[in-house]
Amino acid sequence: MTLLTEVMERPLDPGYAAAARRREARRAAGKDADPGVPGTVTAMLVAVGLGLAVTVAVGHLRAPQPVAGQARSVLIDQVTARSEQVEELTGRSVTLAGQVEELERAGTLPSALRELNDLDKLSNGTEAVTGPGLVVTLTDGGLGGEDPEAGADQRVWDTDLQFVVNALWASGAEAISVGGQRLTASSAIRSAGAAILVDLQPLNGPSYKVEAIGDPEKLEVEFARSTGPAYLQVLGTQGVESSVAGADELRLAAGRPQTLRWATNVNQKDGA
Amino acid sequence: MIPVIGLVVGVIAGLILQPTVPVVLQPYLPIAVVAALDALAGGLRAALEGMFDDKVFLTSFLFNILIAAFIVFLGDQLGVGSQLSTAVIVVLGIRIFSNAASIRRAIFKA
Repeated sequence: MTLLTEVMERPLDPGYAAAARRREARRAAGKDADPGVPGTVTAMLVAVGLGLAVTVAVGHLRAPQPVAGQARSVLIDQVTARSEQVEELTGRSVTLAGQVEELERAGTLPSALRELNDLDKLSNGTEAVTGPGLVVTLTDGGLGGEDPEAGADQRVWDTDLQFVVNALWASGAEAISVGGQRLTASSAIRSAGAAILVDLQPLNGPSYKVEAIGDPEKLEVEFARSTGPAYLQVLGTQGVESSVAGADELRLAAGRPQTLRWATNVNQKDGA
Repeated sequence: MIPVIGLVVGVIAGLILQPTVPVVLQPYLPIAVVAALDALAGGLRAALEGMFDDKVFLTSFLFNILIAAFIVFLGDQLGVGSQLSTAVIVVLGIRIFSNAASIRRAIFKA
């Protein structure tokens, strides 16, 4: 503990005291205490060097932070700008879709074709629909845990939603949406890390709502007879809460139509 | 007085010239700055107690920086660089604090 005592109790360099004593002694002996020109010059040079070194060190240590901050603010700006762009484009897409709809209704298409088109849209999920049906809700168990790794069993996973959705399709559902995202022919329910994605759009937990439109009675009976309830029961033993309820009127938003870039109609290709 | 003028000249030169630091020396900069602060606090305290000495101040300044840098270098070579840096910071920090306390007593008499 000598070292610590030394540090705590005598923080001043003992050299100062020794130098002071030497000066005293010299003055008592009547000698000149001036260090002389070479000593002064050396002291000056060393002092300049030290001042320079410390300034450079401090300047260098302070420099990187503004750069990092700049990169961060640039990224934030980009994120904000891109988000605004996405919003703007989404709005434009909705407007254009409305115009397309109007033009189609304007009578340029034969009525039979238009009916077929409407029916297609209805069944492939690219048009908003309404009707009675069934709502299955899955809720994460063990709420309040911040750690996503903790209680992985108690959480709702993409496979759980997939199972419920498949059971509902099998029970005769005509249109399904998961967490407000309408399922189309090419929809995928997947997970990225701890988040569940429907068509690459993340869902907000902890409650996940699967809404299905169909004949309410048939849907309920068929779903009860399917493996769905048994699966939900298994989930319940693991802590996932679930509920199945009928609904008189459900409104499902339109899904995004798939953009075909390479596939073309066989008949058109032959005709062309 | 000489070392103070010299330090000020050096600081101004550093601010104006803005020289770049070689990458090799960069790990030693933080601890060198703390060591310099320690020497500055010691010098100020000595001046207030009326026993400031140019030679002692400059040698303590220089050797504090050199030894601090050497300890970091040694720590890096031994694979305990961050621990040794922490040790140096703790010791110098205690010294700076007690010197600062003495300076405060000398100035405010409290």
